[in-house]
Amino acid sequence: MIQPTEFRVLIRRLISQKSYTIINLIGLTVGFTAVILIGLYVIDQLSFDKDLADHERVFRPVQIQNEPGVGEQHVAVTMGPLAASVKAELAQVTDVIRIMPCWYFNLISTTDQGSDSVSVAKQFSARNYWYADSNAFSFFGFELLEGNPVTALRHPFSIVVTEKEAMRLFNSTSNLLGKTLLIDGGSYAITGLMKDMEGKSHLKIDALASFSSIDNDQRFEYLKHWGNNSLGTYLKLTSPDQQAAVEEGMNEALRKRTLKEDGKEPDIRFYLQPLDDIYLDSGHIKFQITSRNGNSTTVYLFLIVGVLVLITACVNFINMSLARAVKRSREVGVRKVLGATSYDLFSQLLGEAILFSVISAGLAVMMVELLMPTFNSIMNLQLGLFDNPWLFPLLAGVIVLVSIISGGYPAFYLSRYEPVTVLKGVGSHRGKSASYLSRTLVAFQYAVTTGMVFMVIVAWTQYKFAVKKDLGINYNGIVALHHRAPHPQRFIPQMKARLLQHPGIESVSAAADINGAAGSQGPVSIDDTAKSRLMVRYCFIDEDFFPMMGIPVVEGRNFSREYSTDSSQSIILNQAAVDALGWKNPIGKRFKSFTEDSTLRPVVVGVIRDYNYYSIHWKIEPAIFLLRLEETGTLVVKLRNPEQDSSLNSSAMQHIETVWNEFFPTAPFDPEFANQRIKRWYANENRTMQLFLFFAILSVIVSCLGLYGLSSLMMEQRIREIGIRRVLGGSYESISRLLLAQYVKLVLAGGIVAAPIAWFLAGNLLNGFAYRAAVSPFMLIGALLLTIIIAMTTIWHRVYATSRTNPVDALKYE
Amino acid sequence: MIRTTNLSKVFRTDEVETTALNQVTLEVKPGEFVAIMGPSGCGKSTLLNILGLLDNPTSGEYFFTGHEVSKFSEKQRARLRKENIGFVFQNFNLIDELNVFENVELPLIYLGMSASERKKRVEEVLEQMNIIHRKKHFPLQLSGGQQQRVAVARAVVARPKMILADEPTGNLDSAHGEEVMNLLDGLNQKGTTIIMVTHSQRDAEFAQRVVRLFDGQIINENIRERVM
Repeated sequence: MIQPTEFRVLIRRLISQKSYTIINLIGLTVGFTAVILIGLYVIDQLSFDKDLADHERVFRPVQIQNEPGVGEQHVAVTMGPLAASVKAELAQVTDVIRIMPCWYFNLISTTDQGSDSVSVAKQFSARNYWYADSNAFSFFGFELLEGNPVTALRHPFSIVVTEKEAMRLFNSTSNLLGKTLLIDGGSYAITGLMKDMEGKSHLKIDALASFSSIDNDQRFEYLKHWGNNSLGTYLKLTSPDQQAAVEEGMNEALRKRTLKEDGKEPDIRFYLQPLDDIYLDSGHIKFQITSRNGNSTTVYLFLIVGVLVLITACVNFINMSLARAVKRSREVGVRKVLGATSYDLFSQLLGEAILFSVISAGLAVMMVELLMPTFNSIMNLQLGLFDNPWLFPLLAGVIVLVSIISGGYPAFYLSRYEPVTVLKGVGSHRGKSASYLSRTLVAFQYAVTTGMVFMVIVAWTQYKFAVKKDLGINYNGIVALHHRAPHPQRFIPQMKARLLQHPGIESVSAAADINGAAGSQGPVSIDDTAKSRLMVRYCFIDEDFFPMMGIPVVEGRNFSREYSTDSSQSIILNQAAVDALGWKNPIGKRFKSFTEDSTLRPVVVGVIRDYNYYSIHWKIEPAIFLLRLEETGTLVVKLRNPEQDSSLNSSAMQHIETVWNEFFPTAPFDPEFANQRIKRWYANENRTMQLFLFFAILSVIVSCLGLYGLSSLMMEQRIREIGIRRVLGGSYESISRLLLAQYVKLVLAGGIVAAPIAWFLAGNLLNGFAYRAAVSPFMLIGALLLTIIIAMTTIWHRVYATSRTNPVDALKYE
Repeated sequence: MIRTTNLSKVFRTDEVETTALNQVTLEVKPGEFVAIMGPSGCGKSTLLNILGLLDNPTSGEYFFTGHEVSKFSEKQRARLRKENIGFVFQNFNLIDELNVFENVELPLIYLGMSASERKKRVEEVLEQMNIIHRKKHFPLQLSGGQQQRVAVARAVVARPKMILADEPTGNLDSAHGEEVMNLLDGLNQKGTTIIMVTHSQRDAEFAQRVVRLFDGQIINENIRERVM
């Protein structure tokens, strides 16, 4: 397409017209950098679970429940018997599997096998251990390096570990079969070594234990009933279009079953969520056993951002090319006179765009290489660059796209020049259409920039709002010790007393978790009618929790050691529960028994003020608080003045560790600080904000470069006009105003176009939050003003110089 | 070589209609050297553009080497042009980013000639124009006269049957102007047809015939004996 001679000439031209070349290269490089980073990120996010066997016809059942007190909720954990019944009754389902986190796995002990005894060698904390049915390997396509995939998980107390986990436990992956792991009071025989999963998945697996291990475990009795949702079920269909039929079949099966069990029609509807959607599109799902989730809104927002930054960069190229068309028209004319056809010239000019794209792509790859570690750490990813199989397809695609977008129109426009008009200098001024296009494009660039600046402001406001929002619970100086030991009631009083011996420790409380909540949700009833049923969050705490966490009791009283019945039949509610029940005087009201003993009807002794037990993504829901030491797995410790006195603080932490080791000599000490959890809650928002900031800066750089280049060229062409104005008595100020005004108008127009779109996108950005910061139109106006100021600063120097041109020089110019 | 009958060219804008050429009938025989003279705005350049196949007339006939070309499309004209016509301009119109060699080579590239053939032809013609020692120089590094010699070299390198020169000495001092006129004269003597627009009586004296244009019409033709 492009002759060697032309290529040489092109390189020469690039070198001789430095500012033009640099502006174009920087602009396109920035655009490419943005699109490569975002492209690799998007591809990464879209690739989740695509390596699993038959992923396109695997689904997970999700229930839409409509429960009193919480309203409609999507639940992706299911009843235990669902899998077997679906497999038996629905012909469209070829295979099913149940998986469930090993809830009670806390410590993993490796063993030394003597001739007739087994002794503990080392202890590790459990990570991603799952109970799975024996068909796990064929169902998901996991590969076994050792062991028989058909039988490995068939027998009770069998366990398969991944290569990574084997390395952690044994520092080796050989001779594992037959070794024993002591976990949760059982001894599990290693029956397989699983290859680490290559692709990414919403399931993070370190080990799989046979589901049959808990078949006769009393603690898992609930898995046999249709009234309890606690495990993950996946179905493999004959084909993806059987989805609707299977959904109908499942709803039918459920109705039959639950009617039989308790005689009531459940307010539950099943639908199937494709495996391919689980990772990105589960934001609406309240309960699931997924290890990790992405966020499709973030992915698509950034895809839009990447494309916009790229187009902004292309716009620079287009505008600079069109602005230089005047200068180049003579060359085009001469070439045409010498026999070049429009096609020859089109190819030549497009070739220039391609060359620019290729050079910029090369530079961008270097930029990405530099930025990748930071990008990965912000996004919490491990993206590779050169080892990424998508890099070159992505690059090639973007190069083609950019060449066409940025080179196509200018090449078309220039190659159409008629040699006669060009050579005569007649009509060599830019055509009206090109001039309109340039202005529109500049306005577009500033629309993008204004929009991005606005998004940064919104994301930042929401992040600050989220982090600073009064949750109604005081996490200041709170440290959680997750022991998850059995029978905690036996050691908690002593351990609390030991901890409180240190002056740096203000108080200690036993709770289900740092927030008191057990994470589970269940129904409670006032009497036997379905109408009085209420879905609540269960929270297990001791007497010290509310005072310590600064949660006021607004009615009645807190749990107290003075009432011996508190641990068996007293209940504290939050206000949301009281509101949902519509009670005026809740104190003394009784619930239906939670246990087999129907005479034990729990009584409400107090109401606390609502607090957010999770992040503000979620609404505060009805909760009941029970004084049940045996259900607590965490000791929550409050440090005295954690900020003022750090030496006291650090000695307190040492004391905590000493005490921990006294009580749990073999378990690793791994305290969790409350502020870290809060940060983790909003990590995604923090990421989004930082990334928006980064891309907004890129967008500002690109559009300012473009505006600088374009205004320089356009002002050069107006020098004669300005000379005439000066001669006729125009002042510096009036000419500066004249020159600035046209750009202010463009930026303003761009901002006005951007406003509704940015407003809409900002709404999307905040959709995931139950509690949102107020987005005010002033933020939009602020973003627009900021953009105008940046734009004016960019061209001020040029305007100043141009308006002061000596009219004599200016008039000599042509 | 060429023959026009009642050639007219009218330029129209929204409000103004300007007749640049009015019923021009002209014949130039192969090997002739014709000068076109007349005041500014008389239609000289318009006529040259049409004769050079850069533009179409509004009406009238134009026979170029026997073909009626007045209705040809730009594509057809471009083909005929690059094979048959060389151009020399007042302001040289060399491409600044190309060096001397590359400027001269350009028409051959568009003719699709092989690289080795191009090199031979270009060096030959640069030699002939006495500018071969400057072949690596860029136009802006040359004097006006040298630039015009390069332009002439570029015009003849494809061995056109006809050269159109638009005030070839207009931007040159008299010594350099003379030099360029001698080059054109030499080419004419070897058989190339030359049509030249000029303001200069001295340059016109190189031509065998002078055509005078006024307000788009030919007002007089005089055939002169060559003055050597």
